[in-house]
Amino acid sequence: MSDNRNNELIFNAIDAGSYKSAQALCSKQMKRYPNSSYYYALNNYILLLNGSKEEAIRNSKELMAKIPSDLSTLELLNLIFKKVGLYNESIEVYENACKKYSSLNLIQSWFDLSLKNFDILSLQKSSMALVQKGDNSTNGLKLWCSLNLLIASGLEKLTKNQKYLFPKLGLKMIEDCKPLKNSQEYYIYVSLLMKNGHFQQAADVIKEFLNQERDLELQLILLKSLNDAENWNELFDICDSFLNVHRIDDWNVWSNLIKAASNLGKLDQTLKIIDNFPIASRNRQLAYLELIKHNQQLDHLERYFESYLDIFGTKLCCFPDLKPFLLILESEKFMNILAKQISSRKIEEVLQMQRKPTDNDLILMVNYMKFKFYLHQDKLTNFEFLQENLTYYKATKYLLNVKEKTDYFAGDEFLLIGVQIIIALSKQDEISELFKCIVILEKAVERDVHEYHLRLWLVQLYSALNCYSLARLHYDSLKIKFIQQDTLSHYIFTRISSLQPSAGALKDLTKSQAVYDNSDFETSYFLQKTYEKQSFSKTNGFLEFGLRFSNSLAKYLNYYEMYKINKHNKQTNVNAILDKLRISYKLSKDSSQELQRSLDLDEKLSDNRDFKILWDCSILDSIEVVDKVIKIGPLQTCIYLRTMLSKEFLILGDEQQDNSQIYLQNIEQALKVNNNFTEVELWQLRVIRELAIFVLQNESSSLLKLESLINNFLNQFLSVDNATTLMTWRLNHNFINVYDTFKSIQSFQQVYKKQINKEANKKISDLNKKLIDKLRDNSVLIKAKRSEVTKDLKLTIKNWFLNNPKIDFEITESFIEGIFQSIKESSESSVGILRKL
Amino acid sequence: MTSIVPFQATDLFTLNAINLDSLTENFQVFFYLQYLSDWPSLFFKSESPILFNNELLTTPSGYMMGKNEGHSKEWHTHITAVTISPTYRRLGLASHLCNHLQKSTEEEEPYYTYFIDLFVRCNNKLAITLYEKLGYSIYRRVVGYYSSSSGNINYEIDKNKTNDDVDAFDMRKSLKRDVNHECVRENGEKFNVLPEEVRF
Repeated sequence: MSDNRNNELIFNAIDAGSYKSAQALCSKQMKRYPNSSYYYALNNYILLLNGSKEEAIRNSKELMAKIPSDLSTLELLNLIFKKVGLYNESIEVYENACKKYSSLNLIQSWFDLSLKNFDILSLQKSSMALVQKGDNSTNGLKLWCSLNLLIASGLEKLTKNQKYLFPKLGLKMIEDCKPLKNSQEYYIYVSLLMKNGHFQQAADVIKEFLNQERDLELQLILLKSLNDAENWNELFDICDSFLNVHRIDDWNVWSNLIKAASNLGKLDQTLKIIDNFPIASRNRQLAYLELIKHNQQLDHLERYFESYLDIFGTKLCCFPDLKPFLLILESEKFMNILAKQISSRKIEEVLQMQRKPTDNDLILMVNYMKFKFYLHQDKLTNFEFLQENLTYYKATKYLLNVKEKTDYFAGDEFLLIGVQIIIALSKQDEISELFKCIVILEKAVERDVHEYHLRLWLVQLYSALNCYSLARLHYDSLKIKFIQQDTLSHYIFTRISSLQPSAGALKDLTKSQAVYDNSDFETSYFLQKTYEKQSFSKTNGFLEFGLRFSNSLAKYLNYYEMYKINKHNKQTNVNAILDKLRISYKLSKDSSQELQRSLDLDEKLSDNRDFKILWDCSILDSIEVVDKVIKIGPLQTCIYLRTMLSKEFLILGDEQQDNSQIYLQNIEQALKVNNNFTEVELWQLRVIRELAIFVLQNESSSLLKLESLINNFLNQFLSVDNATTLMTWRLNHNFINVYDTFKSIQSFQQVYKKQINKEANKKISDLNKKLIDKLRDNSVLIKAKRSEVTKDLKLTIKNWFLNNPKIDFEITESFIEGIFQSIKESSESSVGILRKL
Repeated sequence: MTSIVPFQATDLFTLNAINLDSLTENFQVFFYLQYLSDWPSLFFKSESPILFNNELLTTPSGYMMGKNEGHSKEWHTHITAVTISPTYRRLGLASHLCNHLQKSTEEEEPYYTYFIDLFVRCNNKLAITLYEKLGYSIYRRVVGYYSSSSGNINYEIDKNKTNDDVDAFDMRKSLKRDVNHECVRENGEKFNVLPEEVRF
């Protein structure tokens, strides 16, 4: 048999998870080629996959000490060390080989592999080796190397020595490349000057360059360098020149002008510059307010708000523009100014239906309501304010008939404020409030089909009401694709395995995850292009993007949901997903709950989810009391993922004893800070913890605790008497999690059967039987109980909409009937899953 | 408050308020990356500070994707996408982004192109008016441009059968280098071409 065929057989066995068979085949090759380092490395890789981590590391270190030079061997050793978190060793493998053999081919392979892995330190080291060995007749390699030194010097994990050396080496390298030819080469140079603290020199170099050629990137670095140099005089003069000579009306310029002026005490002079700027642009109007922030002694404060509102009060940017400045003026004074605008535009006539509104009227009214809401937070629980918003909607909805289909109706904001009030006003019975919100927003989206905030809110509301198919309908209408699947898929897939563990949901998840399939390859391909095409100012962003996309928390949370659905549906072929989850488990180790934005992401998970977009309307703040009602449980963080994976790995029991203890510790740790989990998830974690302590630590009291957990809390999670549980996502979530606990206990008994004595095993089985019996008994009651609640609910909702003396919703009975019917069908389809448990 | 800043690959995570718009195209990731690596200074965004949950952030309010292509007198700048978030519309931001692109490409260094062009659906009257105000004029009608966007040549398109829903106007604006205005023409809307004739 040829070696190629033998290698193929080994990898087939690895792919199939038959590690013993792979090892046997590899051993044969090792005997056949005793001097081949490759098969030794491959053998170590298989050992690692098979759980013999320590042996794999020991052998790999021994092999590394022999300094192999074969490319495939190096690649495997690099992979092994990376997988076990021995980052320095993974680099040393190449570093040592390159030092000893100094072959250009070897160094180039190291560089290419580093690009593929978005491995910044290796990029820095390999490009340094390339400079030493490669063709230096042009500056190409030196430029690459100086760029990599620049990027690497931003890493948090550098040693003190590296932090000191990298910027210095980089600067020396780029200075060797002089004369520099283009803006991208200058970008490296001035960035390295900045890294070395030579801020003024960087500014001088850029000024000279900008005399010859325009470049936005360098223009921005110029402002930053003068800021960092605290050269306020020059910063002031440059900004003045950008504004008045070059007419660059840019907020970065205005804000730097004011900052410099503030440091120089030149605020009066700056006021004149603003006054004399020939265009009454948005930036100029806001520059007055920015100036006031620095000098609150300025007279006529209100005048500047007035002059902004005169021009931009009828633009949607008005609210986000003014919101940061509201602290400098008393709320009442500001509202009076706004009220004057309302009065001068004769909005009262619109509200009295005496005339048709214009687009400008509408937007001014929207802004007015937003400011009112923002500045008087008590409006959130004020029924009259809800009425007022609905009156405004009614008075302006004529514009819905005359707008272009693809345009948005700004008046939808009145309804979005309205639904927040409705939810905030709800006390115990949030169900009817969710229904009311859906009726209102469904009517709105019927009239304004492309408004995506309405759709996103409907996705949330339907999900909260256990209506996956309806949530899906609105989600699909948003045509979310490609990168958006990473940032937005959490709106539909959060805790999906406990809500809709169906083949359909699995298919949706699989389709969504396809965005990650080629992403690493594509990003590294274009990352390489940034070197080849000298787009140096983009390289850092590509590396960060590659790492953030590759190590996305959303990606791994979705894989976890896929694993759980597969498990629920008794699919056994989950090895590929499990492998991915094992990667995420390692990455989750060092990830904090904070959004990660640094380049040190190669060992961390990155949270790229966009939670802001749902609140990118109304007052641009997430309102906690509302958020709590509409979201599907607490935020799933890295800690959530790590804990849930620890639980699953513990149940699988395919790891060493040491690992099991670590998994148990992770659960213990998470239970101490338990704000990541729903109540039933916490209960399940406690059940698994007690089982694990009983089995792994032989602690008999844990069995009693397990008994108490099952007896005391079961009724809580399987109750069918609480309408809120019965009609919302919590019903499926609780039942499916209890069922999952039942299956997990069974697996646990099976996996650890040697460690559980007969008597204890029987006791556990009896408890588990109690659990499944209760679950099945209560499942039978769900339909009738839901039917009772729905009947009352429908009456309440109809009455609220049709016989409300205070608000005329202009919603017909048949419309409400239609909504109820679709909710009934969708939620029954979700609840139907419970009957199959 | 608007600043124009260079687009970075990581900005792709922040475009939802712009790209959820039904008329804004969401491209595959590699497409954005290609523009960034090939034409780094022609891909930029406008951004505004916002106060969200008591934190001062910047949010992208629009972006421009451009490229340079063509040979000799066809050496030009092409606007691939220019789009604005709904919150920041009606402020002239699209014009601001177009003007910035023009300033970046018409000078001798580094690009010095003859003209800027873009494709716009023939039925998109609002956009056509905007571009005309910015000095663009119709150079030719590309028959069936939006029905052949897959990149494959559709041999069944008849150059004489026009349809505003699927045809595009190739609109051009002559730049300094085109001293004699040879890159633009009068009555361009009557000059029909097929999609394969507008590839560079």
